[in-house]
Amino acid sequence: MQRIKEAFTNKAKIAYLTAGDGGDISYNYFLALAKGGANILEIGVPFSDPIADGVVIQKAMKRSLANGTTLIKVLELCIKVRSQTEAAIILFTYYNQIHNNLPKFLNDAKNAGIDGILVIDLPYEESSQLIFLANKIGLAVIFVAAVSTSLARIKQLSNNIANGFLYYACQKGTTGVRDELSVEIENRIQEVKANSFLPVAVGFGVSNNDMVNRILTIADGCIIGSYFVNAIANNISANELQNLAANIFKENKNK
Amino acid sequence: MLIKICGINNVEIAKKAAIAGANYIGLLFSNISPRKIDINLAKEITKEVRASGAEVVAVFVDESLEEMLNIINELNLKLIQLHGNKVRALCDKLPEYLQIIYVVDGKELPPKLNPNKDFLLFEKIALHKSEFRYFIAGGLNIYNVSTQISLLKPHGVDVSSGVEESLAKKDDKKIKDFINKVRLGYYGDFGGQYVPELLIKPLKELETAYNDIAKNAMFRNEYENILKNYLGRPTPITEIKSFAKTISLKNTPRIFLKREDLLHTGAHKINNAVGQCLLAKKMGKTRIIAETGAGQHGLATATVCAMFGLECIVYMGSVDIERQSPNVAKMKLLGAKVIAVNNGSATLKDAVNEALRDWAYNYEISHYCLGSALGPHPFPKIVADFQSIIGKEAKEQIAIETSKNPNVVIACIGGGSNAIGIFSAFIDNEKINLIGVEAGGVGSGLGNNAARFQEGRVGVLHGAKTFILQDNNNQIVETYSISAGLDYPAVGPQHSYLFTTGRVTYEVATDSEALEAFKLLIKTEGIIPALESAHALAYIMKNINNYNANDIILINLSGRGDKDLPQLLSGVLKNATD
Repeated sequence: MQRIKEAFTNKAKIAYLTAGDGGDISYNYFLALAKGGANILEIGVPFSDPIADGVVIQKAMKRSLANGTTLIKVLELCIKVRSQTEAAIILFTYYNQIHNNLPKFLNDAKNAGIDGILVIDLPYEESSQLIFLANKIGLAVIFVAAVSTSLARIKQLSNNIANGFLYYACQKGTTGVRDELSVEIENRIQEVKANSFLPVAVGFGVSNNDMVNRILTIADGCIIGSYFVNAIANNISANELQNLAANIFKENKNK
Repeated sequence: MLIKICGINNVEIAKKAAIAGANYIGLLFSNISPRKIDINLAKEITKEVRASGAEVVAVFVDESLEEMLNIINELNLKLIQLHGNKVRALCDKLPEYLQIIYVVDGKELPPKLNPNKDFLLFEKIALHKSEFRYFIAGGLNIYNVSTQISLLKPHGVDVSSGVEESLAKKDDKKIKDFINKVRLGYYGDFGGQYVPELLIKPLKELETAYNDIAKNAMFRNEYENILKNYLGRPTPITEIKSFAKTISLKNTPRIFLKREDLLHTGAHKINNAVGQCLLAKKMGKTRIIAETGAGQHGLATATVCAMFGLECIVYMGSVDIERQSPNVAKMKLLGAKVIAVNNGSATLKDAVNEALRDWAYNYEISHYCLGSALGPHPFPKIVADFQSIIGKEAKEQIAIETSKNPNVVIACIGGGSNAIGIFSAFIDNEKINLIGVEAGGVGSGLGNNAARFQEGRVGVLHGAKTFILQDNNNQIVETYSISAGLDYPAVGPQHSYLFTTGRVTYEVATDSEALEAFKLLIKTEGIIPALESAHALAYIMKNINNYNANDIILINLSGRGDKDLPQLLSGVLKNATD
């Protein structure tokens, strides 16, 4: 969890890809993101029915599953990524993938070098066992706050968690690329931050350098997912992905 | 939330509590307890409790070390509770592997407490510290438990006298109510609200609206008025004598069909669509989202939306659009927008995925009118409520016709709304057999059927924990059935509960068995059943010899088969009209 904390000492730059998307070079993609400036890697476990995801990540999960990706293979990938980078690793998963034997899974995740876990369809009310087991072994549990989440609930979601950050999904709907951020986003991020006991990273639809800089003037971190996943869908090389990451995460010093 | 029911002294009650969803059953051995039991009874209880998926906890008060060790060994315990200083002083001498619940009243913590495995239990004051797991106890009952949970945020609750009818006598109904109160939205271990954070608020709003609006008398009057004057309720029951004679050589039982096929739009689905759309209207929603498999729920929703003047969006798998073309045309005529879903198996499961995604974008103006008793809480409850009219009517009608209760009630199960609708009136009477019939498709093997209770495992899909057809890697598999309405990999959570408790028996009928029943009902009775409902008829054809002349069999004919004819007449029944 120390790695997550370190990533947030300046501004956290969080990059998502679905594990196994791109086949054997999936691992190179994650390293490319780290080299391109991401200090937290969000590694997605593919699921056949990803209801929280938009079409870009749905397709990535489908490609990944077609490549034969399993939970075990995702953990193997994490071990490899961990051996090459000190970027924090967050595992993003649906609950059906892990509920069978939660204690064992969390131990395996910890041993694979994972720093935190985000279970997208496990809301706070269903999470007491996950929080307890993860706290015990030093894994962070990441919760998402949505545009529909009340400020009182934001307090609740960010309390009781030993470490990590609050993932603020700043748009309605599912994951996916959007062209712009809402005009009130600054105010809303301020509100979320004021009510969160944890650092706040903002994501959902972030797809250009201006958006990143606008978010990072207020938020503690910024999350980019579908934008990178789209690039992989277009068969980008790992080097090109690294450049793409470097460009989008570039801090605008003029601001 | 862990639930511990303490001081149980009866095998039957222990078993019922475990099945209802209790995690721990607390047993007392001390002479000073009115709920004291001996070791033999404890062994019996332990056996039953473990068989039902729960665990027993020995609660020690003033026992000697020797007595404690003896009980721990005899019952092979992993978890014990230490109540009071005398037994706590002995905890150094107990096996290391034991998990201990320490009862703490003041502010001092037990020196041996291992926060990684042990629990605390507070009877009066809860220490608000997240590094410990703690139970709350002391005077909990169904009236105060919810408040106490939200105030004290415990890891578990412990109840004893709050679920008793008199001192030391537990009441299984009270236990069930207590567990349901703690685990709102659960049926035993099934159900829940496994959704992305964004949907929590709309689900809470829906639950509040349902409790505040849909339960009051004015709403019910309006709803029942529509059922009567627009849908044509009550639907009759029809005795199918010649069908019964054809399938049984002797001792022919009486078979009755509950005729939901005669309802406006041709299936039971509209009972629920009317209820939910009326509620949505009162909530101020202007746009209705629906998913549909066979097209019956889509058609019902489109119909009700036309009547109420609501915008209607229907998600339907492209495979289903192909095989249920008459319903698609009707939905379009009614002004609904039918959106084809090409993902995955392009059937009902994928339509639900898309409907949930749409709701996540548009929840402020939209209501998601879920068509079966599945999905996240409160949907299973709401749908079961609006479908319960089927059972209520049928029970009365059978009583008028025969002066008896049916011996057996049979319904097909996709998501399970027609089944829960008819079963609901009979669940409490355990003398009545309830049988759900799943789609057996082309036979056994993942991907060949939609037999969740035969080949599925517990998992989480579309917001609920339930039985699901999935592969070894926990990916949801594609299902197959000739009938679009049964072609779904998960099942409503209440059915998973009824399956686990054994209250309902779940069987399968294959495509060809369903087709035989379909043809036979047409020929012998002049009724064209939906392929879905034909699965329920197929069950009775196969098992007629289990019944005799005194038996009364009630089958829910959930819908009519007109919608299936284009598919059948261009396919398997091509030559039937020659």
